[in-house]
Amino acid sequence: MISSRILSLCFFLLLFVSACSKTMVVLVPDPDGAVGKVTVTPKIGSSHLLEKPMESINTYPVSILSRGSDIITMESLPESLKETLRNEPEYLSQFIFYFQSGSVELNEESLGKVSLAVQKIEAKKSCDVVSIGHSDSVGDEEYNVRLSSQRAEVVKSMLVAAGVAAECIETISYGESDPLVKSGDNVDESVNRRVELEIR
Amino acid sequence: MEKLKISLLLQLCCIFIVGVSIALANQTERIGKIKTSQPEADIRRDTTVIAARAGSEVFANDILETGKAGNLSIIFRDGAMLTLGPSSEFTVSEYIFNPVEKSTSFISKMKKGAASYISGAIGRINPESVRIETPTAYLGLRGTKILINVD
Repeated sequence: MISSRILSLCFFLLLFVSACSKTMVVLVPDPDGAVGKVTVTPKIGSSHLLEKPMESINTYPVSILSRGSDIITMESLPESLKETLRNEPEYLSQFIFYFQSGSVELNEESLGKVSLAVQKIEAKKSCDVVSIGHSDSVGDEEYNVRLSSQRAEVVKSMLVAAGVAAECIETISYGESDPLVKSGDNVDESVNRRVELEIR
Repeated sequence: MEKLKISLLLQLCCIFIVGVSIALANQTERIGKIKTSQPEADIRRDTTVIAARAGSEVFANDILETGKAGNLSIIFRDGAMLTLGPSSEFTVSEYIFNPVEKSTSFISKMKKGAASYISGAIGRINPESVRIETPTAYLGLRGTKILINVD
């Protein structure tokens, strides 16, 4: 009799706690298909690393309810997350323009992309375009920040010449800090000499 | 002597003005722009409530909130995109984006609701610097897309 009372008390306690607050985290592939990682550290309990596509974990205010992670399907997501994904806009479109070594001259193939970028800006009716200049690691950092900034400006001026409103384009220089291909210092790497144009 | 005093005073004034303007610049720098929204989507800044519309600017410590029928999306300066579903509340308390110095930080809190987050350059340059706190957990992102549901 007493044990059944304790049991039912436990049951209601569990019900109460689980109704309190819960965080569900799901790792999903990026727009380009890559899958990253996320560490989930409950405020009470030990942390967990999610690294597989659609790997999901729930955290609760008490660790007794915690279980490991599960692989779930899109169909089994809670309605609120499905609703969120339905309203998620298309992620920014990106065009990459490559440059010759130590120069603000676009290479031949990249020149052809300017008109495609302009078409995309017009199609998206975007007034939030960012021209991000990057360099490889040849030369010192300060030089590369300057070079990257000039590259970003070159792409901007080409877009403006093709009819995009100048006030819709922001330029940023990352220098050598965000390479596409990681390399040591002073490495001539054509893939890293670029401007990433983000059409947001 | 008098001249020296005046010049010293002027110098101090300059240092003060520069200091204050740097502090203000950090506080008032835009961290992102609203991309899309549906009614019942607001930006709460101090004591004012602004309706979130495409193009609205978002600053650090703004509370982004949606009602039962609302949703919004925002693109941050580093290219990260956050979409909030219904009945949600999200705040970015620290946003540092200085790619040249590799100084980056995205510290945020999700109080309730549903969200999808795609990380941007901050997640690439300095992966450990993207942090989201929820009522029951701390999330540390390494360049990825995640879904979060807090209920």
